Amino acid sequence: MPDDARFAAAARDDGLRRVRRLTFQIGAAALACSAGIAVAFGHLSGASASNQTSSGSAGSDSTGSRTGPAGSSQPGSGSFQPPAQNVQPAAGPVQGVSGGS
Amino acid sequence: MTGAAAAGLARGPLGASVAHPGPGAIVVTSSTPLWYLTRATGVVALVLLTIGMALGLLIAVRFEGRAWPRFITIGLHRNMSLLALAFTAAHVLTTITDNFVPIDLQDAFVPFISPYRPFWLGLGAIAFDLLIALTVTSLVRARLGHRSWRLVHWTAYLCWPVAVLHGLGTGTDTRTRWVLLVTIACVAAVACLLGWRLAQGWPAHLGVRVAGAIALVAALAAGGAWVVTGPLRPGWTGRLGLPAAGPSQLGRDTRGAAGHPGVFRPGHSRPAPAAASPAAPTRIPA
Repeated sequence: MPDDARFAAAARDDGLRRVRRLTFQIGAAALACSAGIAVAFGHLSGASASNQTSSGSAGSDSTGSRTGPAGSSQPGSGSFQPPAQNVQPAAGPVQGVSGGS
Repeated sequence: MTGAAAAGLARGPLGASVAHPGPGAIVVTSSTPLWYLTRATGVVALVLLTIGMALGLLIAVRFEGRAWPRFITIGLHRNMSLLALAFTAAHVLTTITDNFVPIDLQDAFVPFISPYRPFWLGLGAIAFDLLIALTVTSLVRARLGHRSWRLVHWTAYLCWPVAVLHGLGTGTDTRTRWVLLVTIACVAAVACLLGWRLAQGWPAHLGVRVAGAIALVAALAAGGAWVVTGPLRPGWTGRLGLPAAGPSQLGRDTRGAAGHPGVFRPGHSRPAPAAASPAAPTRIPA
């Protein structure tokens, strides 16, 4: 095999190795980022819920906490809102109410 | 004590009432790992799609260097596009597996039929369909013929902005600063490379290049103005045309006795009728 052809084949093999290595590195980084971002979102939502609970103020969707499928971000819309985290069970049986005090 | 308090109802984070779960009660919560994973894979898929798009544009402008031959760009473009498809598939899978929002498998493929944020989710479905089409036609490129493949591959210029609009318009994380910065970086990278593509390509068609440049600048300006006046404004997610899913639409989740929280999905069989769930909350008037 001529030297030029051998050099070209070696360069091609080296390039393909680089493609494989870069793909693996980017794929691994993407996996790690997905896990890290998911954890970060969890912490953000938890922190946001704690702040909102302690301050009692209305929140926004900027923290990434779920605002629910009900399209009811506006307070007072009368529809159901999800809490940012699990709520504690109430003591005793729970009854549904419809307004009233 | 008010009736609401007696019934175990409390103020949610947005000022609305939520039910404190007694035995067998409904819980609506956002603390499911799948939901966080959905959002995370969405962000990562957008970044990978942007890398794939950028590498495709580098191929189009015939970029190469002594240490970076063109076939490396081509190989990476192919692999990044496959990675983007894999992460988009994970994004879709976690979305339909997480049963808080009423998104089904068909919603991921057929645009604008989802009851949950139908328009913006529909854009995501379009981008996903286009990404599948781009990948499949590239895999069978030898059989398809160059002209047909090229025609389909031009839809990449539609797939990427539609995916960006889906991410911004859905609005869950648009106001999260670092997510917004990632999105801006993606748009800036593709806009710069598109500018390069317009400057280098079609030397015999100056009119096309000028029109393309004007369209690019106009799209960036319009997109920026829309983001500032739309998704970045408070209350955006409340104006998305969501279904009126009052508590009457809520039902017990079907994922086993562990009582994993969820909601009733319209179109699904209601798992627990209200009569069987004494703790089912009723609508709280404003």
